[in-house]
Amino acid sequence: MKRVVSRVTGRAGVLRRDDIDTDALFPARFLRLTQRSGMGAYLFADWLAERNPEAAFMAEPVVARVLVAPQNFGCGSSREQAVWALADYGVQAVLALSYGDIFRNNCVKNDVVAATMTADDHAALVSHLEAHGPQALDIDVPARTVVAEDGTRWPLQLADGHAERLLSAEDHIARTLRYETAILAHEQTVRSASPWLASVD
Amino acid sequence: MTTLFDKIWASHLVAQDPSGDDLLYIDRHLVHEVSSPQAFTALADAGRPVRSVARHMAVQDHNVPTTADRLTHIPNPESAAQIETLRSNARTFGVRLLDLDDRRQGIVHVVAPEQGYVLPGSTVVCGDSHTATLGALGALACGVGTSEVEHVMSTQTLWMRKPRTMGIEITGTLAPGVYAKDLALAVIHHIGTSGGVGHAIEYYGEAVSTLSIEARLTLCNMTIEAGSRFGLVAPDAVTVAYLRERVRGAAYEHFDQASAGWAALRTDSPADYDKHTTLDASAVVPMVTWGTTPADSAALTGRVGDGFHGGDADEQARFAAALAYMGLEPGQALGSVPIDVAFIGSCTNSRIEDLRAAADVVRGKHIARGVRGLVVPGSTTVKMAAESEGLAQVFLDAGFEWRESGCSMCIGMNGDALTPGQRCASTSNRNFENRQGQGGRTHLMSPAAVAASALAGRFADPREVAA
Repeated sequence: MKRVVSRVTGRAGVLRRDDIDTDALFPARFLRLTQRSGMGAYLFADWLAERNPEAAFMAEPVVARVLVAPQNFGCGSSREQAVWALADYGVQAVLALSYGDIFRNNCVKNDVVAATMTADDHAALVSHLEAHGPQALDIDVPARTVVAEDGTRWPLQLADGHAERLLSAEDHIARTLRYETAILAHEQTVRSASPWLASVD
Repeated sequence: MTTLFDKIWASHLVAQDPSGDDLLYIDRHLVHEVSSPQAFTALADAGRPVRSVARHMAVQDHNVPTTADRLTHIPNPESAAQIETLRSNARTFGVRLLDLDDRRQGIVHVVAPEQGYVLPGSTVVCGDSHTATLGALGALACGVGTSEVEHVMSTQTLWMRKPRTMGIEITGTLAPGVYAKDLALAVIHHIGTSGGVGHAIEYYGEAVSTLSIEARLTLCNMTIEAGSRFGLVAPDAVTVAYLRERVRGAAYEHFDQASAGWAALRTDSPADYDKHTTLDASAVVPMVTWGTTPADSAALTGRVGDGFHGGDADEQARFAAALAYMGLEPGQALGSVPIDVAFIGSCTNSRIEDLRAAADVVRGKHIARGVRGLVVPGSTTVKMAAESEGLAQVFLDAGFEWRESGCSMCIGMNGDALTPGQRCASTSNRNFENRQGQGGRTHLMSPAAVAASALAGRFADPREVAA
């Protein structure tokens, strides 16, 4: 059974830079570790050491459950450690203008909401956070909304299929094993029609 | 009427679930030591086997030392443990492994095409974003995270949403001294780092048809840097000739039947793409990146910041931060920027044609005093070919280090890394902050341009040296 994610509530951290890549989120030298847990210790490790303002949200005493980022967040390497690190640190949702496709996919596999907003709504949310100071946001997955403390509400967009996955309790592999008959049928077809695909060499 | 991408997708569709997700069959899965340990652990914990071991191939690449004594000496204990973990997982689960002592070992995206593992019309995944490289053979190939590595090992399928398609027509032909790497940088500059998000890119046109398979691999490799997981080139006579001498096993046995079907693997009409753009290859010149994204690029004869068009306060701040990190001033002539390191390697540019292009530039010359030059062949097969052609000696005579194969300084995990402030002319694919080592400064360019820069001790257009 996986965790069902229908709502995320918590302090918002705001990132300003476009194209924050997964090398920044999780520097490569920590990829030598072979476990999945405890990766939050390495989140933005280099940027923290350099006192990069983009990592300033991590200095706050209250964990940022929601990150607000601009364009192409999580671009670059497919390393899922970037998402494991965010989740282990405590981030449960990201609201961005756009994402690296692999990163966004890795988010949903780890029960992290990766929603987009229109440019106008995103700008309004960032202005609201600037004007009203640090505060919590409340994200409702089925309703696809984010609500500020004073009740201001903006719509969110989820990638096709992401809401269904976030709201499901079914393990990813168990879900697929329900289609075993169809998989076997495909393998049978390959064996007879294109046997050269049945083995790497 | 439909696209090449959609045809391959349709032929691998196993099922669709009520949410609209497609379950795609995955023909080939390539495994390496960095993105697989947690997936194997999860399988072991759940008591699940690898469903179809013949469809998987593992190789050690990201973490391997490129030193001559690496079979007996891996200095970093975590690297050594990770390499040993892949060995042990391959044994336990019955997955074949190209280990450090195998003549086929090398960077996964160099090895897979070289050994004939990737066929037109197939689906290929790997826990590595540069898997887009393999689309050069007309395959639907993409990078995945470790959860999907686990999923594909367990079920030989992945749940996916079909992306939209983008056709990039590249007209004309490349001028002498201009390479597929320059073309890739020009494409990223043209559509931007997120221009391909949500899309699969197909490259076509006169320039693409005239590229060798190795050059197409370079072009497709950097598709992910433009935001797209998939970069494809339709198979043609060049593809068939390349594969005919490499395939083995069932693909060798059935080659004529298989290749006869590849002719149908093409997009029916450019109108079938959801999005379309055109680029003129004859206008592309030798390129270099000056900033911290692969779109921050300019002609080697240009200036720092060329191609940056301003933008809002956040974009201005990103530009300023990038130049501060890179230690450059806006408007500085790129030809005046000195380098400390020249790196020729990575899944982008470490194949035999890359090494030939670089060797042609440095033959009979010597790299500048104070510059460290490294050549890291993409595979042991490439290394041996380069040695027998005499290229290794050309590099050694020119003052380069000639290393064993692996990802090396592209990702800086294996001990080959920049030190803080070092500036590197690099044939790799990512100029992100800290990518090649903490505080390192990466400038992406073609192998010939890196070679020319190594000779000059500063950024240099390879056409300068040739003249």
